[in-house]
Order: sequence, then structure tokens, then C-alpha cells
Amino acid sequence: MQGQAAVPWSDKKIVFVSGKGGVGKSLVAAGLARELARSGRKTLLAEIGETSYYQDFWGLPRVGHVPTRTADGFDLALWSGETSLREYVLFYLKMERLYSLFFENKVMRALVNVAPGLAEIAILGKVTSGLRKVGPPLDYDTIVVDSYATGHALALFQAPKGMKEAIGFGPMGHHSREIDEILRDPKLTAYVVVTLLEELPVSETLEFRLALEKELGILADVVANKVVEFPVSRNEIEEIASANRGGLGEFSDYLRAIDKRQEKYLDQLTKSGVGLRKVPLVFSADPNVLVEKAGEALRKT
Amino acid sequence: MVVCAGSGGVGKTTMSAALGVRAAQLGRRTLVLTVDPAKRLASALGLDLKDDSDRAIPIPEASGSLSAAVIDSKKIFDRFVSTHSKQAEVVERIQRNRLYQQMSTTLAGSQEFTALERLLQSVESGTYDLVILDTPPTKHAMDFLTAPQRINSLFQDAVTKWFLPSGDKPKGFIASLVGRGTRTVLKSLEHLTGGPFIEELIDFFGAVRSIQEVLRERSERAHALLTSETTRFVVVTSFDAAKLLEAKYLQGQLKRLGYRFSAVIINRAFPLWLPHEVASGDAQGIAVEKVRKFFDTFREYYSTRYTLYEDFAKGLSGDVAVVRIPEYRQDVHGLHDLTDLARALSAAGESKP
Repeated sequence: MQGQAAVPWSDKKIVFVSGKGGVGKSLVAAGLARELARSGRKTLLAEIGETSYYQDFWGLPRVGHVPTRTADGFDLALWSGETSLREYVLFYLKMERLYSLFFENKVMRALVNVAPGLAEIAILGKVTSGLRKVGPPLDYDTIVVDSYATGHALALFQAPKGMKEAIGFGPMGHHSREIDEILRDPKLTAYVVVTLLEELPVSETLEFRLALEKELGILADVVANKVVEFPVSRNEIEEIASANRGGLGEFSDYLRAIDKRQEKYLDQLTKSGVGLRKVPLVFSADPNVLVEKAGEALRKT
Repeated sequence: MVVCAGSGGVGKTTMSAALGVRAAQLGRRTLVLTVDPAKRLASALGLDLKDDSDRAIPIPEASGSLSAAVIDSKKIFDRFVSTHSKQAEVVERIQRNRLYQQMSTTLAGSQEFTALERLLQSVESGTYDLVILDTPPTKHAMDFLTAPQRINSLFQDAVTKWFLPSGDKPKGFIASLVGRGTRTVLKSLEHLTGGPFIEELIDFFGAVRSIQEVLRERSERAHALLTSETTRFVVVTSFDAAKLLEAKYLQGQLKRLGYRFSAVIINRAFPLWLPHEVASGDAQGIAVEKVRKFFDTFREYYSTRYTLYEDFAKGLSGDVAVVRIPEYRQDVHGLHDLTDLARALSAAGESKP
């Protein structure tokens, strides 16, 4: 990879990718994981929650808790609160009999769902377990987390602090403190917010970024996705739009409107001091092409 | 009642608001409820909604009326606890509990629960002919419908009894309910998480016990309302393969579970220029050629997507309307844009056989 620009965030151990729903954060996360793997880093792309996006996206047979290698050279896994907690319990209890009691017990299952913050702590505990040397070994140079959408993501990142304040002592307090320290260490952890250059995603991105800074003291980077790149200059579009009617005039007018909108929100983001990268709109429905292009764009900008 | 379902980022909030505008124009007293951490409805309506009460929005030339409200999960939870616990001491105990303080925002299903509770209150108030609910953003749209059951099962008797402080426990009877296995599990959990965590949990469930009956009752009533004759579900989706797949799954599930599903709104289905041809005309030059090529790329992109749409529409049953909304040049921002969108919605709806 010599002579090429470095892959962004490649000095980090954990990269959380978030953003408003529908902006393409999973695509950006996959593109980043692909580039990191290609640059020689042992990379894991981790989905969190109950359902896998990539399973349908790539038409995979199954994405589960145990990482599996993808064709792009990185590993892929899906970590839910329940699978993460189960693994943890199994690792420490090391007793099959007790284990089955734990998870076949209806009351216990309800508890995993109800105890506020427990699922979040379990998931973040898993994400940080390699760094903390807790549980089964997790040996990756970088873990890219395809995180929740903004609203829910903030609650996720707040959970360890909330838990450590609620439960100061005992193993739970101890784990929460350790996790929280990693989340707020800019040497280890990066936060990436994906947005579209449109009003609602941009305002949500800026709000989320402020909230993250307040909660964790870390400034998130921003990736603008689906940025339309024009084959001609702004002036040329302008000229064609005003000199032509019919389809050509209308289409150029459409391009002019896109250009104005993009410029406005790029400007707004830059003025807010955002470290910004751009991923272009790619005219393809092929998931591999989309991921490849997203990754390349991240490295370039 | 209309429930707007769909996954995040597809324009549900904006569509809910536009439907509200349309209903007000058609003479209905309408309320739009939105679960909205980023206060998106407020911005779409050009309003600053700081509190969670119903706010009237003037719609020019409307024979009905439109109000909107933001659903504040934390406030509704607190109010729910205060309204339904008989003793002030219990309210205080719940609200003081450190797990509770986290719960109203982080607990899976709590947002859905409060959204339904708010919906129920609005319908029961009798102030409105129509209440439109914009559902919380979930990774998967189905989460909204399963949330009340999830919340309910969490507070079922078995769970709360299990955490009764030992002093409150009737001897013998409860002991027989709580098996030896469960006690072992509790011990192990204590070992893994530490005593303070378990203590907070016991305190929390002890307090919650006093409102669990009303919690169950409200969940059941919400369910009855959602499946009633007067409730319709609208699925909002965007125009990409994954979202369409999800919308298809969602409408199947809705039907299977007995909800009344009436329309799919496909947002940003196509740009307005799409039906036009870029005829050769007189215009010439390198730049013009480049723009023409670019047009072809765009057009091809959208026609591939159109195939997706046709497959999707074919898979729906005949009584479900499919409404396609074009991509607009500007973000839907003010009331004026919403009115335009409302008109487009209604025109697209009427053109359906």
C-alpha cells in the first residue's frame, strides 16, 4: 500500500460508526473495515444488537456471535446483549450445569432484558474485552463497530458511566469503570458520524457530535455520504441550465439545486470545525462495488 | 388512528406531518405525535417544540385543525409512575432508584411503551378525530409492535416476586415458587455483578410491583386500540432494496398479527425530471455531452430501482395502496413544503384504482 494515503483511524483500536437512520453508516463501516484489512491490519467488523444488516446485504448464510472471515479479508460478527453476556458467564462460571440454568431460566432471560444498561454494558464489555484482557481472547488490531443510530448510540455510550455511578462497587462497577475509560480515550477509540448533505441528517449530526463531546470529551469525525460529484464545473451547469429548456434544462436545474444544497451543508459542517471526509454517490446496486468505492473514498479524502 | 411504521431515516416523521396537514385540510381535528430525539417534526413544521404538550399549528384554509406534540419518554414515565402509584412514598422510591433513572431512556422497549401510552391518552381525551403516530426509530420496524409485550413480560409477576426483599416474602408459598435453580442463578448473578447491583434491582422491582397491574392493563388497552377497526397502519419506506425488503416483511407481519394495513408510502421514489428525455436539441459542446452522459447514468440508476419497485408492488395484495413520492429539490422544511407534500400524497393516493 506504499505511496497511497493512509487509511483513516488506522491507529485506533476501536472505531464506532454511527449516524441518523438511513444515511448509510453500515456501508461506510464496511468500507472502512475493508480498507483497514487491505492495509494489513487484522480487522473485525462488529454489528451490535439483535439483527444483522450485512447478512441480507451480502446474502450470507448467517452472521453470528463468533467472527467469520469475509471475502474482503476482515472478520464479521454480530454481538447482542444476550450473546455477549452468555459468553461472559460461560467463560467465568465454566460450569455447564449452571450455564443452562442461567439461560433456560425464564426469569433470568427477562432480567437480561429489563435490567437497565445491562445489555449495553455486555455489548461494550465484549467490544473492549480484548483491550481489558477479560474473557475469551479477542485479537484484532482494529474493531470497527457498526453502531446504533444516533439517539440510541448516545444511550449506549452513556451506559458505562451511568452504571459506574449507580453501582460503584463490585465486579459490575469495576467493569463499567474500565469500559468507560476506554470509551473516553482518544488514543484508543474514534467516533465517526455518517451523514447526508441534507438538513435533518446534518443538524442531527452536529447535535450528536456536541453531545458526544460533552459526554466523552471526544470530538467525532464526520463522513458525508452519497455526495454527488459533477462531471462539469458549476459554471457550466449554470450555463446549460439557463440556456436550455425541456429535459436538458430541467436536469441541469436539478443538478444546480443539488450543488447548492451540498455546498450549503458542507459549509455548515466545516464552519462547525468538523473533520470531514466524503463518500460519493455510487450508481450501483452491487454491495461489493458500493463497499469498495466507499473504502477508497475514505482513504482518498 | 393512523400509525406510521418503518425503519429509521425513511422520512416517517415528515410523512406523518404531511398526512396531518392533509387530514386538517379535509376537516378532521388532527393530532400528530412524534417520538423525536432530534425534534425533527418541530423542524419540519418550522416550530420550536420545547415542551411535550399539544401545540396547535395554523393551517391556512383548513376546515379542520392540526396539533402536534413531541413524545418525551422520561416525562411520560415519571407521570405514569406518579399517576398510578397510590402512595407518594412509592413514587419517590422508584424515582430515587438509580436504575430507574437510567431506565426511561435506555431500556429496550421503553420508548415504544411511552409512545403507546401517549397515544392512548390522546385518543382517550376525545379532543381529536384523528391521531397520527410517528413510531420510534428502530433498527427493525417490527420492534415497535413487539415492545409492549416485551415490557409487559419484564414486569410479570414471576419476575417482580423474585426480587421481593426477603422481609416481604411470604414464607413457604413463594419459596415453593422460586425453585432451587433460580436461587442458584441469583447467587451466580450476584457473584458476577456484585451485591450493590442486585440490591438496586431488588429495590427497583419491589417498587415497580405496585404499578405492575396498571402497566399490564395499559399495555393491553394499547394493543386493543392498535388492532381495532378504527386504526390503520401505513408503512413508510425509501427506495432501496434493503428497505423495500424490510417493508415487505413488515406488511406481512402486520397482516399476520391482525393489524389493519392500508398503504405503503415509498419516499423519494424518483426525481421529478425522470419522465423527461434529454432530447438532443440544438445544444452542443463538450459540457453538454458530459451532462447528457450524466443524465443517462442517473436514468439507468433509477430504472434499475424502478424494477425493484415493480417487484415490490406485485407482491402486495390488492387492498393495499402504494403511494410513490418524488424526490424534491429542497429538503421539506416549512409548513408550505409540507402542504405541497400533502397535496402530492393525496394526488398519488387518488390516482390509485
